[in-house]
Amino acid sequence: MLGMMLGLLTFKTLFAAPLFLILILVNVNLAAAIVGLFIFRLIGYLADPLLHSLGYWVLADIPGLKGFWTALASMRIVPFARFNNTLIMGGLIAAAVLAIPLFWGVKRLIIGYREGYQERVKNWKIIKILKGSALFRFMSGVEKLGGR
Amino acid sequence: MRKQGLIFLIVVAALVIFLNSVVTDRWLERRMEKFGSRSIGAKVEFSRVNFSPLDLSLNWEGLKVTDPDDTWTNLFETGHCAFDLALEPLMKRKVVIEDFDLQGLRFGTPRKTDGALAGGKKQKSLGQSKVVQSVEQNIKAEIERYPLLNLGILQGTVDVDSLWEEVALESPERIQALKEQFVSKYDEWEIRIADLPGEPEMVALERDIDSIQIDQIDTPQEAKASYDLLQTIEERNRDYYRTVTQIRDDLIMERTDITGVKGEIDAWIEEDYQRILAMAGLPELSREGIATMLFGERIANRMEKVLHIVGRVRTYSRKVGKYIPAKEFPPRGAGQDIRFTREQDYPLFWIQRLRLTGETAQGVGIGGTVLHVVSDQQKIDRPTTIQLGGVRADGAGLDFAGVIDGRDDVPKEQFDLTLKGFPLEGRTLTDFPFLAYPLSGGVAAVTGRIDFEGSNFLAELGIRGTDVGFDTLHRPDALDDELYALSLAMVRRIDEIQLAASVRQRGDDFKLDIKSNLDDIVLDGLKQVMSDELQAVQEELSERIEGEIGTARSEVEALITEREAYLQKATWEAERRLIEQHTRIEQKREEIDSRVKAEEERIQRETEEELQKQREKIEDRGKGLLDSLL
Repeated sequence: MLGMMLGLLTFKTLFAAPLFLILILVNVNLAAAIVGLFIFRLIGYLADPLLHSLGYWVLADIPGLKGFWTALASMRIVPFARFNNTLIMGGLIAAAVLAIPLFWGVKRLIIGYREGYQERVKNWKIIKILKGSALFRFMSGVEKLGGR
Repeated sequence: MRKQGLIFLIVVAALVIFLNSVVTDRWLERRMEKFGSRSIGAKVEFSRVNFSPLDLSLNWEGLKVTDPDDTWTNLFETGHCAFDLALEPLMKRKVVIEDFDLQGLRFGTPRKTDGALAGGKKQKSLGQSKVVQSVEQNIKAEIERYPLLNLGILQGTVDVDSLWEEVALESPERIQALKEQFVSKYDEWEIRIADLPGEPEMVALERDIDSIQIDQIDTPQEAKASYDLLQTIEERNRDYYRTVTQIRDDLIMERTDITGVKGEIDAWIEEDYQRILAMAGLPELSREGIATMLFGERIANRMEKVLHIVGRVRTYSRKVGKYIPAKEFPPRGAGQDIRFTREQDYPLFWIQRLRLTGETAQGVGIGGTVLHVVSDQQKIDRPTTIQLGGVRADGAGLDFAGVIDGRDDVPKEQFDLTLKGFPLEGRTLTDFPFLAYPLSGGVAAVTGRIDFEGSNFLAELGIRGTDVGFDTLHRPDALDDELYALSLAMVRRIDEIQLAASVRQRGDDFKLDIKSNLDDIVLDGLKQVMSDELQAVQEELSERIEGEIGTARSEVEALITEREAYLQKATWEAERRLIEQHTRIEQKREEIDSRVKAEEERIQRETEEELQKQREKIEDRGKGLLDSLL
C-alpha cells in the first residue's frame, strides 16, 4: 500500500516524506513496497491525464472547497506538500480511494496464493530460473535489509 | 522499529548536510539557469551563485540573459547582485525580497557563444496581447500607405508596363467569390419565392369566392353559412398575404445587405490601387504623408519594440495574476499548479525594492529604483514603479519613469522617457535618399510618453535636433546629378529638426500623426520636379485597374439587377393578385350584406303587412262584437 501511495504521488511533494519515513522505520516488506512503487508509478504515468483531470476538478471546479484550499495554502510548510498541483491531488485521491480495497484485495490474494498455489508455483521452471537471477538476489537482499 | 532504517536515515541526513555545504551553490545555480532558460526561451547563465541557508541570503557575481530573438546578443547582463529572502513567507513557499541590489546592468551586450537552447527548445509562447497586436497592425498599415518615394518617378524611369507585370490584383478574385456568393444567395431566394401563393392558389380562391351564390341566400342560416365561408376564404387570403409581405420585407433587408457588400467592391479596388502605389513607391504627395514617409518606418520599428515589451509585461502579469487558470494539458508527470492565496497573504513573488546601477547600450551610466516587482499587485495594492536616470561623460543624459498598474480590471501602463544632449554626429535621419546623409553635427533632445489603459493606447514622441549639419560629401547612390543638386538645396535649408509623432488608439479609432519641420522643405522640393509625372503614372495605373476589374464589376452588377428584378416582380405580382382577391372578398361581403338587408326589409315589410291585416281583422271583429252587444 505504501508502494502504491508513493508510486501515485511522485516524490515532488512533502506527502512523500512521511511515507518514506514509515517505509524505512517500520517493519514492512521493502521488496513488496518497491515492486508496488514501480507498478503504480507506471500506472500513474499511464493514467496521468485522468489524474490531472481529477485533481483539476477537485481543486478548481468545486467552489465550496476553495476556502479550505486557501486555508491550507496559507499555513506554514503545508504548501510544500504541493497539494495545489493537479497531478499530486489526483494521485492523492486515487491513493486514498484505492488504499482499503487494495489492502483487502492483496491480503486475500496472498492468503489464497499461499494456501493453494505456493507449493506448486515454487516448482515451476520459470520460478527456479527467476530465483537464480540477479534481480531476485537483489530483492532478497532488500528484504533482509528490512529485517524480515 | 527498524534499527537499519534509523541508521540509514542518519547516514542520509549526514550526507545531505555534507553535500549541502559543498555542492548546494552549484546545484542551485543550475536550477536557476534551467528555470530562467525555460522561462526566457534562450540561455540564462549565472556565475558564482552563493546561497547561505543560515541567513537565507543569495548573491551572484554575474548573470547573462540571452535575447531569444538574437541568440548572439544578451538581452541584458548584470554584475554583482545580492538579496535576502524573508523567512516567514518562505515557510509558505513564497519568495519575498525586501532589498535587491543589482549592479552592472547592461543591455544588448554581445555574446561569445550562441545562447540558443540545445535542441532548439523554444519558450512556450505566452501569446501577444490582442491590443498590442491591433496597434501594431494599424501602425504597419498606416506606414505602408506612405512608402519611400520611388526615385524613378523623378528620373522618368518608371516603366508602367513592367510594374504592371509584377502586380497581383486581389480584387478580381474577391469579386468572383462575391459573385458566387450572390448566385447562391439568389438561388436560395428563388427557392423561397417558389413558396409564394401561385396560380393554383389564386384560382382556388377565386373559385371559392364565386361559389357563394348571393341570389340563393334566402334564410338566415344560409346567410350565416355564406359569411362563415367568406371568413374562411379571407383568412386564407390573409395568410397568403402575410407570407408574401414577409418575403418582401426580408428581400428588402437582403437587398440592403447586398448593396452594402456591393459597395465593398470599390473599397477593394481602392485597396488594390493603394497597394500598387505603395509597392511602386508612388505615394500621393501631401503634407500629411511626407513626415510618415520620412520617419514612419523608423518610428514604427521603435514603437514595435516598445509595444512588444509592454505586451509581454501585460500578458505575463495577466497570466501570473490569474486566480484559477483554465485547464491546461501539461506534459506527463508535471501536472498544473492552481494557486490559492488569501487577500492579506503574501504574493507568490515580491521584490519590494530593487536598486540598480548599470549602463545603457549608448554608454549612459544609469541608476535607479524599481519598486514592487510582484506576482500579484492586488495583494499588495501597489503598482510597480520604475525610476531611472543617468548621465554620460559628454553630458548626454536620460530620465525614465514607468508605472505598471494591474490592480484594476483595466490594466494601465505609463512610461515617460527624456533624453537630453545626445550628439547626432554620424547618424542618419531617414532612409529617404534626399536626406540620407550622415549628420556632421547637432544635438538632440527627445521626449517620449506611452500611455496604455486597457485597450486604449497613446504614444507621443518629440524630437528636437539643433545645430544640425549634413555630411553632403557622402552622396547616396540613388541620387543622380540632378537629384543630388535638388537634395543639396533641401539640406541647406535644414539646421534644426523638429519632429512630433503621436499614435492614438481608442476602441476601433486609430490615428497616426507624424509632423516635422522638414515636411514643407521636402514637399516643395519634390513638387518642383515630379507632380505631373507622378499624376500621369497614377492615372495610368488607375485606368489599367479599371480595365482589369471593370468587366467583373459589371457582371456582378448585372447579376444583381437581373435577379433582383425577377424576385421583385414575383413578389409584387403575388401581392397585387392577393390585394385583388381581397377586393373581391370585400365586394362579396357587401353583396351578402345587401342581400341580407333586402331580405330583412322584405321580411319586416311582410310582417308589418301581416300585422296590419291581423289588426284590422281584430278591429272588425271587435266592432262586430260591440255592435252585437249594443
